[in-house]
Amino acid sequence: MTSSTAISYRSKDTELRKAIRRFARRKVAVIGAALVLVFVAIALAAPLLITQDPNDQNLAEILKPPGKEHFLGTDELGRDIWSRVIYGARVSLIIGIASVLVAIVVGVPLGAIAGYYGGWIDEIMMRVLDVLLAFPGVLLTIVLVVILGPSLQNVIISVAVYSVPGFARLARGEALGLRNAEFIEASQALGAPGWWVIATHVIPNIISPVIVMGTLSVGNNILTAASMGFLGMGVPPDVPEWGAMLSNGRKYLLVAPHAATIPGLAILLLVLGLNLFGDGLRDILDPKMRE
Amino acid sequence: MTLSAQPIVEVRDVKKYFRVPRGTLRAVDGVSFSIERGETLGLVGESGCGKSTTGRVVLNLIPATAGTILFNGEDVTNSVDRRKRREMQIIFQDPYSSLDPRKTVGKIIEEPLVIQGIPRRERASLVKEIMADVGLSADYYTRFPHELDGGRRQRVGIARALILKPKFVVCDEPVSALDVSIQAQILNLLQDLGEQMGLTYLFISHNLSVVKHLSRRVAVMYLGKIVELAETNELFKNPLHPYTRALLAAVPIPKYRPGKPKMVLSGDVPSPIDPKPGCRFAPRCPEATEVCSSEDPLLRDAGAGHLVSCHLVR
Repeated sequence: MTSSTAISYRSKDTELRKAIRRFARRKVAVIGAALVLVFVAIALAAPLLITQDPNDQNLAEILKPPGKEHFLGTDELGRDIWSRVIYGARVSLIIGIASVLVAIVVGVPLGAIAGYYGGWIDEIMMRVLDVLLAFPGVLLTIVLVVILGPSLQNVIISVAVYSVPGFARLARGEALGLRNAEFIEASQALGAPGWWVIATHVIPNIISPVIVMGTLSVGNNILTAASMGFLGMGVPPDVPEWGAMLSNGRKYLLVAPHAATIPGLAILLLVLGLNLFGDGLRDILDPKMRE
Repeated sequence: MTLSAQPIVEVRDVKKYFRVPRGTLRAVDGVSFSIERGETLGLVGESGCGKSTTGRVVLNLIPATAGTILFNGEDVTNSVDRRKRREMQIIFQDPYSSLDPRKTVGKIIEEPLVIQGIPRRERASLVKEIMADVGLSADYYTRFPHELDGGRRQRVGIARALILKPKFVVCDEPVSALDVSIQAQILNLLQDLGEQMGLTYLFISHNLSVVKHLSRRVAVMYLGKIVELAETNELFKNPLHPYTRALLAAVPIPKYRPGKPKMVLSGDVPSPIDPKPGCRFAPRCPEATEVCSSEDPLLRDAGAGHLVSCHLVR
């Protein structure tokens, strides 16, 4: 029979290959992916790339423009900007990725539960999230950092808290669409408890849009953390965080424009890369967006 | 095997109402029937008449508004006992939406065993066994549903429903989403497995020829009520309710027989939301009299177990 030969290929890798090919057709998305990869590589290889300790101060050589000795110049305390930007990639990626992972782990199950059960459970959970959403994002994270105290871990937690409602809403909407699917009903007919249906059928089927939103949120969360750093509410001052570097350099914008511009460019490129990459992922993972 | 005196499934005056913005939708409005062990009861009616809802209420996939459902003489109305789920299963209409697209065929068929707590080492052989029973080659174990055609997908759905060796299976239009060429294969498979495993089927369909082929008895539903219930041959030879006659007249016949006027219904099915009193079929019935639009007819025995709910049948 022809139908049996037609399906005798190994589908898993062809599906993946097809997806990669679809992704590769989008030049902008490939540029985004390349940018992200470069930053990830920089973050991983940071100790090999730096020219000196990012926290070494040299007060005799403050605000030096880019030159032979200091590749990208020095800041107001004579610290090497190249080394600080390199380490800043680590800080930013850790904040972005960790906060998104925390937000997914918390938000997606919450949203899936609300959407799957509906009724008063949904009503209560969504109203609580509405309250969270009613706060302007940066304000909420600042309040949390003030309460928890400034540290890398607390910045991650507060940025994560602020992105939980987004993931919960996404998961709820998707779960709402799935709860009447016949394969869910089949599982119920087998006597499966609610948590089983949510864990094995609902969540695996909403993971594609979650991945897309996750990628886009990494960039967004890096920006939020940088804004907090800029306002002086983020990580402690010795941590080379791009937002804080931008803020410190701003005061010397006229005499040493590189001190603010370089960390700003780093933020721009990484966030831009993440957004382009995320848009490309959406195009290949979300069938509703396919032309 | 002689049919035991006690029916395996007994449905007594079951109602399912949905509250909708415009009033109360009476999807199932006082349905009673019983199914004897090993028999197949066909449930026919046009779309929207409540036949699928009836099937789901019997399995407690949606809770009944009123009425009683007995399984093996035990009241199972709105009970969610996991052990009883092993005995009652469902085969769905759409083999595309009834299989989780993220899981392999093997995982889908294995799921009932995992839920019911069958030890891991026993599962693989049970899955292989049932795959062979439903005519699926073992190669499909690692495939995803989207790689299979409709007929094979439906075999996966059947394997999932039967792996726990249930006693009673609701077939909710199991072939109406399939190509005609595959329908017969699946129907024969259901019939063979039914005989081998001693299954009792509630077979829901809008297709009279399919139901005629499989069922020992047939119930005809119209707007949430059973209007006629009889042995298959009796129903097809001697339909008493005007609606049943209209349904039978609508079945395409391969031979053209001129001169025999067809009974064609006019108008649409009235809304099941807050229906008017009287016979539900009266507004469309060509033989309706005054009493039809004022009094609700009861389902009565018109002789030899042929039940009909019509004022005109004496």
